[in-house]
Amino acid sequence: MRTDITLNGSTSATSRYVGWAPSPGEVRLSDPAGAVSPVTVTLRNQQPNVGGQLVFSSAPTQPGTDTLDLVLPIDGSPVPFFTAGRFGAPSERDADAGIEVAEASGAVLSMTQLMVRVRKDANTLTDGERDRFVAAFATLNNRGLGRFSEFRDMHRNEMLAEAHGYDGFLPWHRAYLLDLERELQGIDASVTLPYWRFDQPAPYLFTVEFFGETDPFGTVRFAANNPLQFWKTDQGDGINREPRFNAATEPARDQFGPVRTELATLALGDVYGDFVKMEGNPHARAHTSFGGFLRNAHTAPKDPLFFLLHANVDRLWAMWQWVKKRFDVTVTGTYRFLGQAGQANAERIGHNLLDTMWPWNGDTAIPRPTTAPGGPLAPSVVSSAPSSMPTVGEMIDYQGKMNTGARLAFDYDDVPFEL
Amino acid sequence: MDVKDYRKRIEQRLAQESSSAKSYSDLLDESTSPAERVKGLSEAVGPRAEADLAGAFAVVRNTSEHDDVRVAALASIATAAREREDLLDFLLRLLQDRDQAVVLRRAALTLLLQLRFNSAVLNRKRADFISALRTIVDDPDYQLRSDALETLAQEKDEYVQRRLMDSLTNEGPRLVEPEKAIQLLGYDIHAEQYPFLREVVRQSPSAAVKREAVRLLSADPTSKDLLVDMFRDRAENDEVRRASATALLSLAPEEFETYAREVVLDEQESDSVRAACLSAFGHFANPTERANDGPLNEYLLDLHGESASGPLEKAVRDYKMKYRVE
Repeated sequence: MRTDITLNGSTSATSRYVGWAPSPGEVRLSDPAGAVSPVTVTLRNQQPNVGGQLVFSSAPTQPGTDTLDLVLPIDGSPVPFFTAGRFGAPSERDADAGIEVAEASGAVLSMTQLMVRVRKDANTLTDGERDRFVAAFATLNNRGLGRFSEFRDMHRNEMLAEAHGYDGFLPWHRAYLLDLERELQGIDASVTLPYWRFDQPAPYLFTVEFFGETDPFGTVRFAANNPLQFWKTDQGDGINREPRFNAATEPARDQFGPVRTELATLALGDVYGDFVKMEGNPHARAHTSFGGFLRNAHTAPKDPLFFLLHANVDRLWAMWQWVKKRFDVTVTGTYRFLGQAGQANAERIGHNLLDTMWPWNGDTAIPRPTTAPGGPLAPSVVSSAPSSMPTVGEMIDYQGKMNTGARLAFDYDDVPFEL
Repeated sequence: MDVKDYRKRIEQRLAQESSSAKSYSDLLDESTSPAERVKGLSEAVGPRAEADLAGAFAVVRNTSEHDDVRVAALASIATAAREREDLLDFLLRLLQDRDQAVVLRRAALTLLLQLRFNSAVLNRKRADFISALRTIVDDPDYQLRSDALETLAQEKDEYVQRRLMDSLTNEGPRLVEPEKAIQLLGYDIHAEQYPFLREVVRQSPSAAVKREAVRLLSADPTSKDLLVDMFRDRAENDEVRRASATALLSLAPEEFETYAREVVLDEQESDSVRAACLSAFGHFANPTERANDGPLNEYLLDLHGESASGPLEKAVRDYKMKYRVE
């Protein structure tokens, strides 16, 4: 007797990635040998306390549990279930989590390896996680010849208003990071975009083995085996980055002092209009805690650290959403501008809930920029959201709490999914 | 981790954070301790009322106030300044005013750079910002001068390009160290600068200066032969050799592969340069060619670095794993 599992709509190994938000699965008897009536099976972790850990439920509105009993018809019809990572127990390597399907006698009918894949604090990565991420990022850059150049081109002077200074700052950058992360996962599916926790020292991150150490002239140096040494943007080699703080022992700080802490950022307010002021501090202050590429909005994405900085900005938004329960756009305070551009009291185009976002929408009509690099947002095998031309609104219910189909298939290690 | 307990902990901490915050007007008040005012003002979202904004300006302008408090008061107006041309003009004037305390002027520049991220009004005043920065290219304060130079270079300002070249060719006063000046040219390198940079690579006694010049030559095909020479020169500084290798990898990948292979096979070679070559092979080479390179792969079976944790050892390990060399 055997069972097969489908995860995220596919039996392919490429779909076997979950976060904290429930992912849909199906289990069926693929070989009912010996069964004369429906078979009760138990779904459970293959190796409790080793690798990523999973929880299971029969519906996304049910809390996850360590095991789940299901009754499988002998005609092979699939039975749906949901699975997610157990909060606090992510994977460290691909396929280090497993779903074991066992029948009542204890016989194991199938084992399916998968990964509990979440974005982590860069300063806490294992050497293996670090090296895989660095390798994928260097490959995406490919000495200036890779697709990374399109991400760089999405964030120049002439495009800044698409993503800054208005309420769409957070949704736009969420889409930007998601697009980049999916490209990285196309290179190595086990990789996620880590975040730089800029309100804390990050000694592991600013090393030659990881994101580099800065020499006295602001040039970043890497270990001789680190592929980021070949980083290239705008036809120029290398990275200019000059921390104005001791990166090993201090949180990011500029002349005005340390960046706003996580707690102070969460305390900015209960409504989105107050929270989005974090674009100034800690976001802009994290940028100006450096000399070099990061200091100027036009050159900032030339430094790969930009994406880890913004992953933390996004994590802060995700944390705020969870603490304040801001996933439902019909609830006041989740987002401010609920209509679309052109309507009465609308915000600038691209910043209203129903607006599609440049560059993914390919819109180059005034007042948009004259080019739209990168094309549609990268698809994912583990989620059908967002659409290839996402709206601002599609970035808000990123865990699929209001609508399971809205799940964007990313999570942060310290931001749970909570019913 | 129990999610409900986690939520409870965060909510408790948030409640404490909110209750401990002083009001903005209290932070402007001189009777509050300077340390508290500095911390509070630099973290404040900023004045909501016009009266508080006026109060913040009064603190900034008050030369009897501690400089740190004045700087913190300036930081606190960021949110208000975002949409107000009069406040932005104040910052631009402050930046250029050499009669003002340097710390305040530096603070004005930092604030303007932050506002470049999120102020549509400032971005419409880009020409004014560029003009203001040009006036401090010769400022006596090194930090202001250096930051202005860098920002102008990043904005591809032709005036600063000219000034940097003049400083490097002794036709104008030195503005920053030559390593930095060359680095800043890299934000908008022009073909007419390549002959000068090649001379720097050939003549400069400073490895850092040479390395910065090599970085800029990676887009110049006519510099290829020079880069090959630098890469292959065992007497040259390792950092310069690695920078040359990186440049060559872009300019002439096939030639790079030929020379890099020689370097890896040469036991007399620097571990650091060998590791860099192997790293390039591991990530950017033609995988079929690498996998079929019998002599190199056989050699690597026994190649070890000075230390098991060193870059060469790791590069060898990664290469072997990538191309299944066993």
